[in-house]
Amino acid sequence: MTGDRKPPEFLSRWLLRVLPRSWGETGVGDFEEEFVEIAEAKGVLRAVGWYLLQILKCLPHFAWSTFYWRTVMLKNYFLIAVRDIRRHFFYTAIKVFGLAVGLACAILVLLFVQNEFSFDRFHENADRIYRLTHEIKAPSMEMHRAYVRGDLASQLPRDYSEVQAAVRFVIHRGYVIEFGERRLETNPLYVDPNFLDFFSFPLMSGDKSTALRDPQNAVLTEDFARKLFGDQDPVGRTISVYDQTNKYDLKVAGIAKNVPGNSHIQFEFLASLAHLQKRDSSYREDKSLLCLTYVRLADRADGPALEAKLPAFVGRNFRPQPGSDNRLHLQPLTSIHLHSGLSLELGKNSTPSVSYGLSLVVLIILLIASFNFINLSTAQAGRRAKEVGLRKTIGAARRQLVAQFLGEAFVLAGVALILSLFLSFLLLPFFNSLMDQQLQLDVLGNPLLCLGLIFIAVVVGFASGLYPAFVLSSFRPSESLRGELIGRRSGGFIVRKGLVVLQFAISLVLILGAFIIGRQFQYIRGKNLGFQNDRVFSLSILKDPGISQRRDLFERELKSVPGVLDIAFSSGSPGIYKGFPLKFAVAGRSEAESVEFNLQMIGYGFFDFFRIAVVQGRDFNQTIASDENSAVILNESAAKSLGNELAVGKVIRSEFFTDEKGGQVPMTVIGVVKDYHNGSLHEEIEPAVYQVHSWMHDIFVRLSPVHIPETLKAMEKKWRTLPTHIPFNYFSFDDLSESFIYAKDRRTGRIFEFASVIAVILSCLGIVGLMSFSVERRRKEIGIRKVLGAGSGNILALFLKDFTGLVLAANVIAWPVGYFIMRGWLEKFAYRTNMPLWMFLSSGIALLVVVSAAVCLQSFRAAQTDPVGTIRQE
Amino acid sequence: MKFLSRSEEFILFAIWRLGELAYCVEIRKELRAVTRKNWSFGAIYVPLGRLEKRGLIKSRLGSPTPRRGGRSKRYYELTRYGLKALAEARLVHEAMWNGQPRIVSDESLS
Repeated sequence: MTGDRKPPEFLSRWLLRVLPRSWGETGVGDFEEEFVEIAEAKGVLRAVGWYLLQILKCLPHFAWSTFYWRTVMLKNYFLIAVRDIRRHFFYTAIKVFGLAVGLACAILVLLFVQNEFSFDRFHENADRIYRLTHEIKAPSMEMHRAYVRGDLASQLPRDYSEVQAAVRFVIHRGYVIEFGERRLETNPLYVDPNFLDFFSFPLMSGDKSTALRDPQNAVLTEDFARKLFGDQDPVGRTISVYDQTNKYDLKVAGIAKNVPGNSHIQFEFLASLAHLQKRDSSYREDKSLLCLTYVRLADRADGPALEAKLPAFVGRNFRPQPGSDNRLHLQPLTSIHLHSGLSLELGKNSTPSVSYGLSLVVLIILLIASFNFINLSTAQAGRRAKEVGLRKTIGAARRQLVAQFLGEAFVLAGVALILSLFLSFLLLPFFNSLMDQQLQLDVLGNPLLCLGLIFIAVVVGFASGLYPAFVLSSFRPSESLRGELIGRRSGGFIVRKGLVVLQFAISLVLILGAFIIGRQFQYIRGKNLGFQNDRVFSLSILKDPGISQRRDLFERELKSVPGVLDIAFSSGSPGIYKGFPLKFAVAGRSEAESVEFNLQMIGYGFFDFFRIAVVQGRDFNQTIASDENSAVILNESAAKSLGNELAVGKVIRSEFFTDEKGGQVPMTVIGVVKDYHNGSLHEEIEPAVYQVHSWMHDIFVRLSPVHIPETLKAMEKKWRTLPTHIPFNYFSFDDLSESFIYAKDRRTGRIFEFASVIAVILSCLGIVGLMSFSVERRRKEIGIRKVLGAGSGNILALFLKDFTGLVLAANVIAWPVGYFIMRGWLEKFAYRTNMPLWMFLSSGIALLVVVSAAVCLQSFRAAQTDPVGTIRQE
Repeated sequence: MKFLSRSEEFILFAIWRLGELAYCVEIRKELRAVTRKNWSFGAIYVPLGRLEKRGLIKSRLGSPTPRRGGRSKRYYELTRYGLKALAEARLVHEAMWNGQPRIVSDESLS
């Protein structure tokens, strides 16, 4: 800096920025002169110090004046925006409503996703809890199940110090609990005494460490206790539990809070595993008991590292068998809900794909809504052109204008966010029933949701405001002030058309999806499944083996009810439970040629009841003793795999069929039945083998077509007089198959329906907005046309022509896209409907009709107006 | 007419004394010499703005000099009203002090 006695250039620039405007350049000049003087007298360094100090001193004033001018402009922006909104309320309403609908969907889906990913995280030490699972590979079966042998839970902590604690439980389904007159059905969990210590299910009364120590104790949840006891205090009272064979008493030792919805372990009733083991001889040995087993690791222990050590543990604890392989796995507790899906899970697990799919739907709806926003904003850009011109003339920079219009978009997005909260409150019950959830919307108590929503609103505001902001701020003042832009293209014409086509195309794909899913369901319902299930009702009797033993009595009594046509007992429902896969060795063939069939246990008269024809041999006969334990019937697919010659008389063996001494019993094929769809239509008909069994799981009743509700009531009355503790809870066969097998598909269908309705509504709103704007702009043109002799029809055609072209273009995009998406969906069904051309045509026409209706509605009024008024108006 | 504030009075005085040379840096030097106190730029600019707004002074831009980093000077001069206001201020002072004994000696000022 020698000789050069000038303050650094950047400092001068800073100073210029922070100095009050009115001082300006000359002010900086004065400061520099002073700088030179100080530099000459005391050195450059001092001068720079002084200079910096001056800049600092200016800052408070600078900050204040900046703030002042910003707010002044903000006030102005706000005022103009409010005026604009009030003058064009209709367009603003369309923009905001679209965003609000989109955001409301986003709220619901966020809620859902949050719930899905929060599963089981409420447990203390949730990240250190793992579930022990068992993978079996054996010649006769291959499975990975959630249950492991009961003795492993006590063995594991002994062998590995990093395992701090372990807990086991089993679930039994459909037990009846009785208190006084009241009987309720529930699925009790039989748990180890440390269950409540291990997991974080807080008790409202009772002590969590001791409540389950006494095997005679039970713990109920709040709601279940209220249902069973009403207003009485449940603690200390004795209740009865109906086992499969007998009844026993337990004492209520504690009341637990209701299990949160985001727990994969759901229960209403806890009892002691020790009690179950004492009561039932088949459970007595830990080794013969299969349990769900969870372990908690020490603070710094590593789950995968422990899992790697487990093969050695398996080697010590499992007897090696040739050809079979046992593996134990550790599954993080928090991943069970979304990533598990083993056999014998506690309940139905979910997958992350549900969340992804829903998010995609929301994204699509938000896209359509922001397209509306972009279209309406740019279409109306001419309106704001004068304002932009004026602002630019008096010195607004483009950046300021972009900020202004973006800000408007943000404000509208904010308004939409508030509206969407109300909307989502209204939609929540519907969404819950659609997704089979019990979600609750508590916005303030859910900061994560709040943040997510604000983030989405900002992104949406940005996405929909950015392009209009750039279009609006691009006007040249010289043109816009003279009003040249308003008649000519007012920015983004092509973009607007493109977005409308895209909106239509998305709507079309969704409509197509809804149509085709609906068609597939019609196909499923209408398909001849190979068995007759009209007016069939079923009742589970799994929990009372006494009924199986007194079949004749039950059959006679139920048949005496007028309206009951036929009755059958079985251990599985056709079309719902297809049995379990087993390997069979065929007599006269080598071991390698064994076949795999699904084994299903049925009752006598099963084929008759469901009208399944016996094509070879004969049906099971109750009077022939050997049918009970050494005869099987095959379906045609199974018979075919035994060779095309007569299957009847062939003998098959499996390690499953053993006598008391453990020797294999050869099973003789006595008949072949026609193939029917034993599983869902997702799968091909699989080879099946049927065996009669004495323990029945279900009663099936076929009713006469008239007076069905009355018949059911009469049956319930009769049921009460029969010797059983099971309540009369029946299912219609259709409901059953729907809820068991097609629930997920049905849900997909309804989501498609819902999304397509919203997409069409939003797109049409956008069209209505664009239309009324275009009508407004072309009023004079319409007037002149009418004066020159155009009729209302010509005017309508004028407007329709524009939009028909767009709908056609949308069809061109949507057909292939829809085709490929839906083909992917249909491929999940082994038996599927086709996608006929008329379906595409009709969804295209449907859209065209709706759009035309919207267009006509708007242009009709314009076509009807008296041209005198519009032309004279200047 | 509103009275001048003291700093306004000093600044008017300085501009009058400096005549053709009156721009901010010179005004500041003059004030420092007369009052023996350091005047910040802000303390000069703000009253200058006020005086100009009241029409007591007017300004013009001079030519830029290298010593100022190529930036031009803003010269100030008194208007008729400014001159009047300064004269009036002097009259008020003299009227106030007329016939009073000295309270400060010349020496104590130096």
